[in-house]
Amino acid sequence: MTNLEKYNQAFIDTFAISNDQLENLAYQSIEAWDSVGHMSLIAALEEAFDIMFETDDIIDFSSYQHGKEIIKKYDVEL
Amino acid sequence: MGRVIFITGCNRGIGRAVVNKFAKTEPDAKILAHARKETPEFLEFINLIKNAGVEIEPVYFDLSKPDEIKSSLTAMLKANKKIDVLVNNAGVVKEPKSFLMCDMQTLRETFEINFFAQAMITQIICRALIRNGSGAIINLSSAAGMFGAEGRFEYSASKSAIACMTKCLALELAPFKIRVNAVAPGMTDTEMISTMEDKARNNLIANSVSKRLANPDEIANVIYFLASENSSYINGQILIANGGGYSL
Repeated sequence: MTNLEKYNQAFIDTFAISNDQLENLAYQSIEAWDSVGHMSLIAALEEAFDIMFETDDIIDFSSYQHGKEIIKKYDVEL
Repeated sequence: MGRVIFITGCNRGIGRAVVNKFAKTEPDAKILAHARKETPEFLEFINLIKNAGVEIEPVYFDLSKPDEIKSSLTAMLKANKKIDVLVNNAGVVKEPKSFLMCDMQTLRETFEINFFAQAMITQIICRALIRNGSGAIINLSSAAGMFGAEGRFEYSASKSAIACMTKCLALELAPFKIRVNAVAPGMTDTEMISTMEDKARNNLIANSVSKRLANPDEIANVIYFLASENSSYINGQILIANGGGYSL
């Protein structure tokens, strides 16, 4: 599984959504991505890539696209 | 391997008693025991637990230094993916003085350790608990935080803040199956109590319902109960262990 596939899978598993919903996905754009869902997503990504997000990055992680930029800071190439 | 338990302030008093309780009751547990710094006494205690066949690792950081807390806990979580229980025991109590004599620096220092450091530790450890999909957090409040204590303004207020933090976190973390409770001990026979003048301490004992101090083991039993499945439907509660009554 590539890093991008692992990244996508974290969203798909956490929010029970399909691949075609990912592109424009943002915080609170779907019911499942609320504050609880947000922390579940962070936990899934930390688990998948063996990283630990800074608190500021958790707050800043506002969308699927922006998350790609943030995760690069942790030496994860997507 | 059994549960992984992280306990702060294990070099003496209640923290040490909590380590002993887990070691005796859950010998398959892994204990991550925090102290401010390495000392011969603390290492001797760690070795004592190790020699009893219980897995234990020391964790060092100064609660007044947020950067140290963060780096130490990040390293701890790298090495230990799984944490099941957090016991926020470490705290500080300053020399007793009246509110009117309490300088702002003392107030800030007490809150830095007794509240802000606890919040920071909890925020970091929560990530591991969320990954687990379950967990228990036990905070150390104080009967002084419930009822007030003369000459202990800053300590009592900081412990009251811990009680409120407990209730708030219980609400926020319930969806992750993480329970958050607190113990509010009354006067306990630890080094902290030694900061009191004999006369004041004796008066408090004489006026207490049970006419004695709590033994640290008695408080450790309550903490263990809140960390166990026996308290699986208890969440957001402050369990006052003061031997009865409505004061210290």
